[in-house]
Amino acid sequence: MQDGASLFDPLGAWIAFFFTLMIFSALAGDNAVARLAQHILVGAGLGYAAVLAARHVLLPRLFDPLMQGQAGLLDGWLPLGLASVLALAGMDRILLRATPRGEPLPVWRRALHGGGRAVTALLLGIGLGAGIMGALQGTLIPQYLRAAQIGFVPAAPGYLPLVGLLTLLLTTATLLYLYVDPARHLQQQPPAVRGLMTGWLWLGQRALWLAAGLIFARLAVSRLSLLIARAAFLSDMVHNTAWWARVQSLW
Amino acid sequence: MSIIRCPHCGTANRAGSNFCNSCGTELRAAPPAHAQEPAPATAGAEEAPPSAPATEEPSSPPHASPAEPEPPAPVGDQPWLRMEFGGESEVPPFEEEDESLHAEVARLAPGMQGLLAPVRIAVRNTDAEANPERMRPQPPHIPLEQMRLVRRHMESPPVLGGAERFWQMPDMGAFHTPWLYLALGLAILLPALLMPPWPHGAPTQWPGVEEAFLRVQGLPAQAHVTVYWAYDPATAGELDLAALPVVEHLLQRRARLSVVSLLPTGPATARRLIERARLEWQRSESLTAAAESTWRIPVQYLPGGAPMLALVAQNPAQVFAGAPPEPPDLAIVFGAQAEDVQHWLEQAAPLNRTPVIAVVGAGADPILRPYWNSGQLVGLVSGFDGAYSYQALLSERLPRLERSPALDSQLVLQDWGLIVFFGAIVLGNLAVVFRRRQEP
Repeated sequence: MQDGASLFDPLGAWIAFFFTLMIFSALAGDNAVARLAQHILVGAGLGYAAVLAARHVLLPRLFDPLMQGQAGLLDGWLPLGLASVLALAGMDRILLRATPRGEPLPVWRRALHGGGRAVTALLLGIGLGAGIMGALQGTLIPQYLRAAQIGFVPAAPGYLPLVGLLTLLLTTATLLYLYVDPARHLQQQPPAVRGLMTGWLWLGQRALWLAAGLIFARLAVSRLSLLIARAAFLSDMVHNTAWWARVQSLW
Repeated sequence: MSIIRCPHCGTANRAGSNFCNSCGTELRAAPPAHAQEPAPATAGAEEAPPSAPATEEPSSPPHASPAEPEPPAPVGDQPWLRMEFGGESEVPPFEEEDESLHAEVARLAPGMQGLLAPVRIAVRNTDAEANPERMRPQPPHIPLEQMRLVRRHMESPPVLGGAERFWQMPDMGAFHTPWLYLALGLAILLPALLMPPWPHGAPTQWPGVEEAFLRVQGLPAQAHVTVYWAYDPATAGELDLAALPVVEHLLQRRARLSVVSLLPTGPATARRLIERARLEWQRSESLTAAAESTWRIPVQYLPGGAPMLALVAQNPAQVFAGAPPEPPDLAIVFGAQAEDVQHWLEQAAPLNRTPVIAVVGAGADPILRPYWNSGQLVGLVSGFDGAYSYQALLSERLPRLERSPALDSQLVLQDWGLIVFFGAIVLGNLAVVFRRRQEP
């Protein structure tokens, strides 16, 4: 079963065993045991992430170089300043009371909020910019080029143009199905156009159903694997107890 | 020609318009019949009050025959539709707007455009100059009920085009989910405890598994491989199965691994699995000596999200101490979601042009197939079946390496679970068929 179980500390394995049962108890309905397990899990996870970020990133990459004088303005003090502004602005939002509506904030709080917004904008802007450029160079352009190459070259095998046409047909049908509402957009069209479009939309709907069914089937198998892994873990724990050996001797 | 008056700003629009020409409010939501008015037809209509009827012959008697059609009435606030429109001087001032329009706005509360109701846009600067008190921005007053409706709209998923029909499911009756849970739980837990020898078989080997195997097999000794570890204990139950044979194979090929993860618990998961792979590997007697010479594997956590992957590709020495500056020989993504692989392909792969193998959960497979077909992925191992196929290739080509018993027991349990799924689908469909037959 789970070969790695032998690596676990026995106490940790038993804690995991009971936490698994506590989480599984949610299947019987919302209850205090399941909620307790979830709260502990989230709290421990956040605490672990904070410690990890401090030990692996903040200390070795920011504070240590700053203390040793190895960090410059751009790679040391500027990130520290921006992070401090954002942290202070966040604490102001969380800890200090908001003023009544319409009453102006003190100048220092307005400056802090402005600084926090600027840092947030910087973070979001860089993230979005990188995301958009990445989507272009890693997905949209390569996928478009690949789709455009399917079969529409003179030396392509005979079946490839058919694949290309089918790809084009299904892609356009799916897009049309998502954006065209027959009741609204097709009523005023001539009967021939309406018939063609209705057929095209029908095809798009079936293509969507097929894709959704395929993804759902693979997702169900994926979740089944996760369930089996947990069941195998529980079974391993039970198999290793003296109680189970006694049951087996009776069997 | 009849017109339709915008319930938001009061502008008269041509009948059949989808949106208001002035403010863009949607007009398709079937306005009440009294909101439609006939269009202006003649000159001289501007002398008449907005609500007064006017005809082509102003001298015609007001008590016309009821059998005759009602003459079209002019609209005072849309004089530019007339042929003899004289310019801006004929535009009615803002103050003359019909106050009854606000009653229309109030009835728009169920729609999103109700949010715009308090906004009154100054159409001319003179309005602000003439009545500055009126033009001062007022905090919008939105009734509580309207806020609830808006919140509900914002929380519901967006509906595109005709897709609302897609979600209109027929009445399927009760699903009896507790019984489904019980059947699935028993189908998994009982075989896990008792381990019956059947059912058995071999899953399908999908395209991409053998290519991944051959790519790893073709690595030279001490090849530099960057591993992006994008799963954590939440999905380790499935991903460990798929990652274990690949990591074993990499260790067997004496590849120099550099592992990076953007997840806080990713490094711990990676270390645990690499240690497990090393133990599996050491079971094989002939490979023990090689195991001792394994290069120490750096495992690095990087916060900051997907853009940080560009740093890994561009300057690996900044991430891993002592890493060679040149691009790695191979990149492997161990990810639970398709997005993890997409992040690498979008942020890192275009920068260093390193071939990429994806080892992912079964659910990510259909989404990543286009990347495999386009050649952006040189190998794709997904889910339990991918792991089983990879392990089979490994055992076939390297017979000294022992086959992991975990995959065999997983296969039995997976089959039991699929039998329950299949049974539930068949029974559900039969129930629907019989139900339809019983209905008149």
